[in-house]
Amino acid sequence: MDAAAPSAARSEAAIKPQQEGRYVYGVIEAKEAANFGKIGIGGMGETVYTVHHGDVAAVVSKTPVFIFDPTRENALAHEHVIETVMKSNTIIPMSFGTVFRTDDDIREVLKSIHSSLKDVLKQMAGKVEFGLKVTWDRDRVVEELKRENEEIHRFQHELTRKHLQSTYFARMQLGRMIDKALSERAADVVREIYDTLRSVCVASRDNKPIGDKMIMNAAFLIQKDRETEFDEAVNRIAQKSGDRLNFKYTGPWPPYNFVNIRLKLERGTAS
Amino acid sequence: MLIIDDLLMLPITGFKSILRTLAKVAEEQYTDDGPLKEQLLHLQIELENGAITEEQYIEREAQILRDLREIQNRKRELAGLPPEEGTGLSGKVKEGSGVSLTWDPNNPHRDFEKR
Repeated sequence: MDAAAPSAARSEAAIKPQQEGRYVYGVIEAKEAANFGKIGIGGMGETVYTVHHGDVAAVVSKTPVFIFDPTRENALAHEHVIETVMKSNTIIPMSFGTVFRTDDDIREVLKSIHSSLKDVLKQMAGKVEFGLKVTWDRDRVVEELKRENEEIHRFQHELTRKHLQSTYFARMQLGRMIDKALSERAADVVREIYDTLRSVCVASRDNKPIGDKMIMNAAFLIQKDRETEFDEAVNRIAQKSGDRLNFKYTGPWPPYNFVNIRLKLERGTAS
Repeated sequence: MLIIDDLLMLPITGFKSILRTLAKVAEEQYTDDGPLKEQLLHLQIELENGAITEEQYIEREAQILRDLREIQNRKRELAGLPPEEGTGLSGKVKEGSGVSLTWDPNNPHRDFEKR
């Protein structure tokens, strides 16, 4: 990750240099002030420090810019800070691009939602999130289905026999049969993966797959001391499925998919 | 407000209500940033798969972000706000703020059990 590039996130907003905001990465449990180094978002090497209310603290860095576009560079800088903090803390992550006006505004929030923060921090202690996206070669599965699925196979055979392949209706019907068989097979595959991982994780979320090659877009909450076990389980399934499926396994992340922060302030809302 | 609401609803029947619905749909599409955010996700996957180069990614990302910003400004305009606030979150914390779990500890695998 390259946070040294001196590009401001938003040039037009940088015209007002006297104004300064606070980019908030997340909330941790900490009584003592902490310094996580000069790794703040924005490419200026701002120090990442903590703003406290009692035993909870927001992890922040100063910024001359109030709006951050979700560019890859900004997203990586945000992630890098979270990653650094996670080495020694449980963090409730804020959404990307959350900027407060002052330290006092942050303290006000920590004070107002203190009990829910404490509660969720306790629940998330020692837990991390892993992402698992599974894709397959859709065309190859379609070919397989045409060979192996009896109903489809017979229908196609019938079409060929009656020279109907080119009629609109016949193609529509075949397309529908294939779609149905595809989603059934995808559901079976997902079920099998989930059944293997279920016993090794605390909780799971089933997000909507992106694009037509993806069949699973899941997040798993793992107890840190079972990370190796979870890794092994994922590897086992990946090996077993050979090159039929492609696994994209990422983490550890903070519990993005398992925690929800809602903030309504006099000026501005963030969630 | 029941009486006033009823009175307001009265003239908007039939054709007028259809027009209003059409206007609403148009406005929503005009300000719906969901598809753009999805495009951004697709783009990230293409980069990770190696389907596009980093240069291509940066170029297309910039275009999507420009469109997103335009929609955000349009939303603000419809809400009667200036194009960009850019002042950060501030002030009193209102009711409804807080942190919660997105899942039920008594049923932590609900998503998959439903499938």
